[in-house]
Amino acid sequence: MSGVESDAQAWDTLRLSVRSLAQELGLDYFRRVDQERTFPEQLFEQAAQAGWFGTLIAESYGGSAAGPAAASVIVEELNATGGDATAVNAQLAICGVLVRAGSEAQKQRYLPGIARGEVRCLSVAATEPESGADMTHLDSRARRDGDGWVIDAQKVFISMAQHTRLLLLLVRTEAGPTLFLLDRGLHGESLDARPIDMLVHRMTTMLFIEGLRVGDDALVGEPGRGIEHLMGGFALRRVLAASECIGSARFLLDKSLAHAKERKSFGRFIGQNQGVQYPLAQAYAHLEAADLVRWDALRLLEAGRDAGGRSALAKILASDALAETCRAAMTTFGGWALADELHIERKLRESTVFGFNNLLLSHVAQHVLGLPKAF
Amino acid sequence: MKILVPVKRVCDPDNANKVKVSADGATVTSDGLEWKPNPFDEYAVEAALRLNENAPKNEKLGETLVCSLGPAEVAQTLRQALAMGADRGILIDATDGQLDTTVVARALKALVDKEKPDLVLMGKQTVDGDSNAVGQTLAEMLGWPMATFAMTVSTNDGGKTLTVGREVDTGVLTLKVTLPAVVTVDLRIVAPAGIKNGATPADHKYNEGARYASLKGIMQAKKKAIDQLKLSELGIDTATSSAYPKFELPPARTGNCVFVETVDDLLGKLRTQAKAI
Repeated sequence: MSGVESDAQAWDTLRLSVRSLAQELGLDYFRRVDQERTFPEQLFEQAAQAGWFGTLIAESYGGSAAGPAAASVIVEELNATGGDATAVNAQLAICGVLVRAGSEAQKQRYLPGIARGEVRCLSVAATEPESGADMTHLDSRARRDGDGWVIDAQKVFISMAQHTRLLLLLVRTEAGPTLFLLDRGLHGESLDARPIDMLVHRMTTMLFIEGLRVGDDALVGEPGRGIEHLMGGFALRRVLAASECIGSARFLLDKSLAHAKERKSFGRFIGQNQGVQYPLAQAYAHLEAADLVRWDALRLLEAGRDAGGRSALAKILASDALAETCRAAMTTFGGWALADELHIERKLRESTVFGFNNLLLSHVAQHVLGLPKAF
Repeated sequence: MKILVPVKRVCDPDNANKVKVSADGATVTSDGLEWKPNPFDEYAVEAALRLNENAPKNEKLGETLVCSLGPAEVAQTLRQALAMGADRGILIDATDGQLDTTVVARALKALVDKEKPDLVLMGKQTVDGDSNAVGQTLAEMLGWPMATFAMTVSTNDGGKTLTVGREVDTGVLTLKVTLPAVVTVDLRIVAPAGIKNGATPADHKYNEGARYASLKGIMQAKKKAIDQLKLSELGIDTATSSAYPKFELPPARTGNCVFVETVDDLLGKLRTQAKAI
């Protein structure tokens, strides 16, 4: 029996604990946060109390070192209860970069506060207006100036930059792409984050930094190895994205099944109609398959093995399954799927952020299938 | 003090309206419903943890044991209590059909004889059967003092006695019981000031309600022991003293509203039509 199976009972306990916390907050809480476009303060506070943010942090830095599977169960179950795990996912996963590549001083200074939820570490600023997801071409720069650095950067699609204290910034130095850790407590005034209004509430911003001076203590890992340091966490982040998709799909499927069994039209339950049944059965089949690959990827991660390919498959399959479940839910609910009071509409919008898979497909083509490098 | 907390799993009480009766009326079916710890038992676990925590150097004042009777899956319910902070679990293997108030009380007595706790702290009743009888029966079998429906518990005389506040119809009745004893708890025991253990600082802020299992607690619970026993190994009489001949759902409400002129008229209708009195 592998570690993941023997831990099944612990994950069940965790699931119940996440579910009761989310149910106590209530679906309308998440609807309000979405409508008002605010940070989910109450969720964040309770998640901190429950110790979720120390999942990837060693006990010596105040975490629980519960590991990737625990993180995955937390974000899945939050979404499966109709919540939105965006902020929780970020806080528990982004600090992984510091865990892997941070200096001892950075770890001691920040990890205990991150684990307690007192220090928010929610944002990675990598993507740029001109280059999108191509992190090898960065216009943002840090130049050496005496014993420190001067940073000029323009970044786009940076989630939660207005709500975070710590921000990981990828810029070019002479050595190549380099990662810096910015602390808004120290450098806040030089960071200008402007919200981008979007279909979905991801607290997305554009970020402008001009002439910010930082010392060597803001460097994360080695200059020139920034992309590598970020990519070390990609497998887990893909699995967490897959877990969020699976959770949201389960929420939509549960709601749709209940509705199909209760709602009568033309004198019969709509669940009797094959036009409703088949999309739901099909979505369920794809969802279960995605879930198996997701746990397969978690097994590799828990064993400390390379999960690059498997995690990419999990994310691709889970986001497809979610899109399919969204369509099935719309067929089941008809116009009600678009009314915000049923919380389906919110999930439909949330699901859109998981649909961008081209880079992952390219990763699978090149690294799993051995096809030539596309770009 | 060493505290034994019996915990029962029940069908999700928030969805109790989804419970169905089998076609032949012989059993209640709960297909598709989740199992949850009986809320009053969860409060008892919380109360036990509060009684035993915050000794100097963050040590515990005693062991908190949780036990349950039922099939193997009940281990999950115990694991939840262990994740909240209980120290050890005991699972007595039994099927739901083997259990009634008397058998459960006998099994708990056998367990008390074996484990010798200072206190049995339990929910006042389960929210499925609602019998409200195991605690009282157990205290009688043990010949121990008993305080039911506790809303406050404080320890005195270095943990030799307890002062228990009980919520009764006319106010609060305060009892002093000598340990060992059986105490059953009501909802208010998990109010922030429900428990005073003599060690927790007076300004310690407890939340309202039972604590969540923290992630750290869940990981620690993986390593905690759940001892397995069989009902047949306890050396007790396992014959049930009650039987359920038939279940039926209450008739569906019609929503009809009937107006009456006099109180006598109302009583008459309640007696003859609604059969409520």
